Amino acid sequence: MHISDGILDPKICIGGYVLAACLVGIALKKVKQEDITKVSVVGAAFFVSSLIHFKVGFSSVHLTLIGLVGIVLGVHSSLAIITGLFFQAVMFNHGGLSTLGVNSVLFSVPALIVYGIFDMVFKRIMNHTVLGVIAGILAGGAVLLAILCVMFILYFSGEELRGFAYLFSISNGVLALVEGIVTAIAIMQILNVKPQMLQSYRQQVK
Amino acid sequence: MDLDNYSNIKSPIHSWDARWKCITFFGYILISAFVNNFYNLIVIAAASTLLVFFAGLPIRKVLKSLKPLFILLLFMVPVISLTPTGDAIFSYGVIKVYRDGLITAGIISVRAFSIVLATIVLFGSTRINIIIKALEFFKIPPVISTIFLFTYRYIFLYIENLNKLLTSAKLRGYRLLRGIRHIRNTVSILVSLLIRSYEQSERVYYAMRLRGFSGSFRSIGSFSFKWPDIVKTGIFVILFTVIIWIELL
Amino acid sequence: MSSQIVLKVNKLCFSYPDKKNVLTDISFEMNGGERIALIGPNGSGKTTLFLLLCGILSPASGGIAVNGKDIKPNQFNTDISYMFQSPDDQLFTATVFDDVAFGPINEGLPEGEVKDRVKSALERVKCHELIDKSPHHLSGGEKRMVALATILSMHPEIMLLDEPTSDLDLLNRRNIITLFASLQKTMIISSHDLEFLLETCNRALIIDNGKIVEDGNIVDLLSDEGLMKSHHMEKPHSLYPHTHKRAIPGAPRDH
Ligand SMILES: Nc1ncnc2c1ncn2[C@@H]1O[C@H](COP(=O)(O)OP(=O)(O)O)[C@@H](O)[C@H]1O
Ligand SMILES: [Mg+2]
Repeated sequence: MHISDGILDPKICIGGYVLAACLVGIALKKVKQEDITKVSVVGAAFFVSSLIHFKVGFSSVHLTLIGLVGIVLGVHSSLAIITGLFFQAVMFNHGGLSTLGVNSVLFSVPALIVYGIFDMVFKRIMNHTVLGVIAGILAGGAVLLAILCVMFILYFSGEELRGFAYLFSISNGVLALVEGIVTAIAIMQILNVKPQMLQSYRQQVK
Repeated sequence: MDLDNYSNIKSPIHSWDARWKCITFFGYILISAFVNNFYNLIVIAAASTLLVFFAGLPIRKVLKSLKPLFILLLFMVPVISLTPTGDAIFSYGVIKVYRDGLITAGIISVRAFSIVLATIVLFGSTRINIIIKALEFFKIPPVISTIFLFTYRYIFLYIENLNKLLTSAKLRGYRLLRGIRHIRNTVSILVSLLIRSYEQSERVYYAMRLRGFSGSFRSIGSFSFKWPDIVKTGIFVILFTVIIWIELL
Repeated sequence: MSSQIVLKVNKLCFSYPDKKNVLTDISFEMNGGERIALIGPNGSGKTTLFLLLCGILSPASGGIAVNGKDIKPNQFNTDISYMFQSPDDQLFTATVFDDVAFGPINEGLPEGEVKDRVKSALERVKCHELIDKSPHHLSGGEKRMVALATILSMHPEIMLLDEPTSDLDLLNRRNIITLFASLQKTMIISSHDLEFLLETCNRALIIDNGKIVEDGNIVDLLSDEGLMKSHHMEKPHSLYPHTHKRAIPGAPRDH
């Protein structure tokens, strides 16, 4: 559900790149050596996971997994998201290089918000099921937020694009639901099997 | 999909110094995003198509790479040209095609077409590690280029891993599952992939440290540019000037 | 080769946060040029021991000294190097060249020497034609040989090899045996390929459940049927005097 090349006003494209650079700058401040491999290797697995089809009714959807990326990689998630979107653009021609900045911001900001809220919740709640459900709701919300932002940008990019903006949001609405369910189940499983994977857990142990 | 497959072709685009090529292509992509003028649209569509031919990329593969774009346009063009704005130029019963929408859809399609083609040519004619080295030359932070390199490496490994996991799941009847059970099983596959990657990321970090990793990946070898590089970039600079000039007229 | 003690391990103990006593009281000494086979069932702690020896993990107690100097965790040490069980952990860059050059570059060697080292390391493992390939385009065996080259290019004195033959065909396995025979290096090799160990090593450590249970001449230990059985292993065929293998025509046993 990214914005493709050719649709956006170049000013927005450039603005997107500037904001993305700021996000990268913030993430780089907190990067330690071992985070480099974590972001890249786990990021690669997220990239590949987003290629899985989920059957929903008669159609199938690809996930963005932004909520899960946020919870697993924390403040570094924007680095993995930008890298992932870059390779999606150049390997599969989804999204695009001109809109890479915009798309990165649209995915990273919700991911970071999810991480922030989940981290606060994690400090107070122990129950895996409850944590999973909360993560699911957050992840669904993150996708909705991204969809709304895309819709907003398209809506104000020109009168002709309004119909497209509506259809885009409606067709991606089901994605939010699937992402929520997937993230909830995934977090419960991760908490049971390998809680170290979660940024919040690692910080708590420290 | 695999970006390395066409990097051995001999062509003027392939032999272009990666630094000059990258900066030229990024310039070209940005300028293509700006184009609104009818003649300019023809110019960029033609220029991108010529790039494909000069690079000698196999046409069938290029068309295959364009497929996601075509599918998107197939959905987007009708939606945009049916959105009520200004005058309708064509109507059939309740369906009305609007002039402004059709023009916008046309502009978007051509821009997208030429940007995507340029992307395909750039990454089809240069190995990813060379592109990343060129980006480093333009002062992209070394941590970012290191992450790009490593991610690229492990994407292929995990595609293989995922296929294995899916095959063994299918052998256990995964395909027949429906609804929430399908989702739960797919999530298990996804989670085991993520956990594997998390454990592997630790070992990779150890392996790097044992070989003296100190925060960023350094490679040797330097770029060398020759006069044809200047000519190639020069042609594009002229093209950019013409496009901007037409656009401002 | 000197017969000085190059590696001294003293009462090493180690636990993972979620698994206690993975290694207990590991002690042994190793002379220069010696080849030790590290043998033991899965999960007995071989990989963990290697990670301790090369300074990746730090022991709960006990010490490790290489050439009389204590190993300090997290320090780049070119005397001792470790080849991971999976070559996918070892090869992490975009080309074979970059991977083999990674160590020498980080040692700060000049460009010319880095290139020489890459060239000779790849020639040793007979993979020079792969120099420009991407690791994800290599077969399992090729990955393994290149992973070995990434170690060789650093000219280590002690090599720790974790199951080096697990994904090799017979030809590459033979190549590795010949290569190891030609190297003047101290090695510890873990493997389940006991025939391979018999050909490359002179001494064996049998490790079970985190303890060294036997230490001695490899032929003596491996031919002890009772001992092997008690640690869930089998005495290698080549140590039986007249095995049926000889009877099969076209199956040469002599190397
Ligand atoms: N990172 C780890 N965290 C927790 N336990 C581990 C870890 N790595 C290995 N172990 C456990 O330590 C024991 C020894 O493992 P390992 O050294 O890999 O054995 P081997 O290489 O002989 O098969 C096993 O029981 C394994 O499950
Ligand atoms: Mg092991």
